[in-house]
Amino acid sequence: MKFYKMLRYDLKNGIRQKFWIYLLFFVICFIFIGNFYAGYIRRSNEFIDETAALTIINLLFYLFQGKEAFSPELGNAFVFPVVWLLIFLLSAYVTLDYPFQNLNEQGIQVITRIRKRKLWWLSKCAWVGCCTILHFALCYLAVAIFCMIFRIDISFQYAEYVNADILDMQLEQCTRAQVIMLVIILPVMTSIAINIFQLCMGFFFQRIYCFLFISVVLFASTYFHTPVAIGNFAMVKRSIYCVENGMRLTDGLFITCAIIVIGILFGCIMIKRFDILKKI
Amino acid sequence: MQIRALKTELKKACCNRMTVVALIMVLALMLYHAVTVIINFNLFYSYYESKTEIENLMITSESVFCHWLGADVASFPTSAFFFLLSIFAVLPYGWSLASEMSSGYTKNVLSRTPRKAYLFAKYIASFISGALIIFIPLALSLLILALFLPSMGMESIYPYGTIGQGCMWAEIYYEHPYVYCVMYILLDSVYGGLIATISTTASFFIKNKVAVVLIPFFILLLVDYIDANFLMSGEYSPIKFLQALPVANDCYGWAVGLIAVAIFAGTFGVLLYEGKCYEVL
Repeated sequence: MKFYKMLRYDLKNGIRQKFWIYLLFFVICFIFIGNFYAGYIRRSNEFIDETAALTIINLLFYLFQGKEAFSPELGNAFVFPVVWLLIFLLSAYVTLDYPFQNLNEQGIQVITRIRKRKLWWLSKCAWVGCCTILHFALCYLAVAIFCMIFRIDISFQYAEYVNADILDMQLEQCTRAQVIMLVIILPVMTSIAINIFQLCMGFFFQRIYCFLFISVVLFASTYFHTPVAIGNFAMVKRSIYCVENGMRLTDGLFITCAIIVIGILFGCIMIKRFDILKKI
Repeated sequence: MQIRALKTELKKACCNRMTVVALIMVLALMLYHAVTVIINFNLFYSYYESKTEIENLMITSESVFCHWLGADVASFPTSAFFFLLSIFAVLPYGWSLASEMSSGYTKNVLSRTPRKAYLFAKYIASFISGALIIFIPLALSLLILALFLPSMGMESIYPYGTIGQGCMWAEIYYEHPYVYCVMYILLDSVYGGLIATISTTASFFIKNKVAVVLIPFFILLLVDYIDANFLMSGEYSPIKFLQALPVANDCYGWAVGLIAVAIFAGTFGVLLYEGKCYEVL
C-alpha cells in the first residue's frame, strides 16, 4: 500500500513537472514522421508499379532505424542519426531530474515516515520505467494519429520497397513477433535499461555528468557495432534481420533485462548506505 | 565597479570544480585521440617505408591537417567532441547564473553592485570559459600531432581531406594549412563561448540548473535535424560546420557568420533587456 501510494504520488508529480517536454516530444515525433511522409510522397512516382502501400511499420522503421554499421575509412565522415538520438536522449532527460531532486525535498520526510529506504528506491525505479513507457507510448501515439489522419495502413505488414529505396535498408521478411520486438519491445527495454543505469549513477555523480555519460554511450552505439554499446539493440539497421553479423533480438532482451535487474538490486543495496541528508 | 565585478566572475569561472572536471574530460578525449592517431601513423609508416618504391601509398593521407582533433571527421573522438561540444562549453560556467539566482546569491550581489555590471561580467565570464574549454584541447591536439605526423599540404586530386572550392576558406586550406587550422580553432572557440552564453541568458527564463545546461545541446540537435532534412544545399548545423573538414555538405562563410551574429544578437539582446528590467525580488 505504501509503495502504491508513493508510486502514484511520483507519477502525478514527476510527470506533471515534465509535462511540457512530453508535449514537445509528441510534436517532434509528428514532425519527424511528417517529413518522412513528405519525402515518400515526393518520390511516389518511382513507386507507381509497387502494389504494397506504406504502413505504420515503415514509419516506425524510420524512427528506429538508427544507422548502418560505420567503417572509418579515409574521406568517409561520420554522420550521426539525429532522429534516433533525439528519441533516446529525450527519454534519458525526462527521467534525469526527479528522483534525486525528490530526495532533496520531500523524499527525506517520506523515507523517515515509511522507514523503508528500499521502498523509496523501488518506487523511483518503477517511476523511471513508467515514464519511459509513457515517452515511447507518446511516440507510437503520434505515429498512429498521423496514420489515421493521412489514411496510412495500420497493420503489421510493411512495404519492402520503402525500406530498400528510402531507408536504404535490406530487411528480411519478418514475422509479426519479430516486428514487435524490433520496433516496440527492444527500443523500450533498451531505453529503460539506460535510464535505470543513469539513475544508479546518480548515487555517485551529479545529474549532468550522468546525462553526459549516457549521451556518450548512446553516441558510441551509433558509431561502434558492438553489443557492449547497448543502443545497438534498439537500431533496426543493426539487427540480425538487416545485416549478417547483426544484433540478435534474444541477446538484446537478455542484456537489457539483466541491466535493469542488476541496477535495481544495486540501488537497493546503495540506498541503505546513502547519505540522504546530503544535498545532491 | 565593472572591472571588479568582471575580475570576480573570471576568478570564479576559472577556479571552480566543474571547470576542472570539464577540462579533464576534454583533455582525456584529446589525448585518447592523439595516442590512437600516433600509433596508427607509426604502423602506417613502417609499412610505407617497405612499400614506397613499389606503390603510391598516399602519404598525405597521414598529414596532421586531416588527423588533428578538429579535422579527423571519421574518428570517434572528433565526432564525439563536436557532438558534445555544447555540453562541454556550458559545463565550466554557463550554469552559474541559474545557480546563483536559485541560491539567492544574486539578491546579495545586486544590492551592492549595479545590475548591468554584474550581468555583463557574468556574460563575459561565461563566454571566456566556454571559449577556453574548446580552445585548449583543439590547440593542444594540433601542437601534439604536429610533433609526430608529417605537415604535408593536402591535394585536391586525392579522395580524402579535400574541401570543395565553394567552401569557406578553401584557398587558405590548400595554400596555408596551419593558418586554416588556427582560424578554425578560433572559430570553434568563439562558438563555444556563444553557446555558453545561451545557457547564461536561458537562466532568466528557466530555474532548473540541469535544464539550463542542456538547452543548447538539444537546440543544436534540433538545428542538426533541420539542416539534415530541410537545408541540404550546405552545412548549417554548428555540430557539422565547426569541424574543419566537410561532414555532409560544403560549409559557407556567410552561414557561419550569420548564425554567430544571430546567437550573439539574441543572447546580448536578452542581456541588455534584463540589465534594465530584471527584478531580483
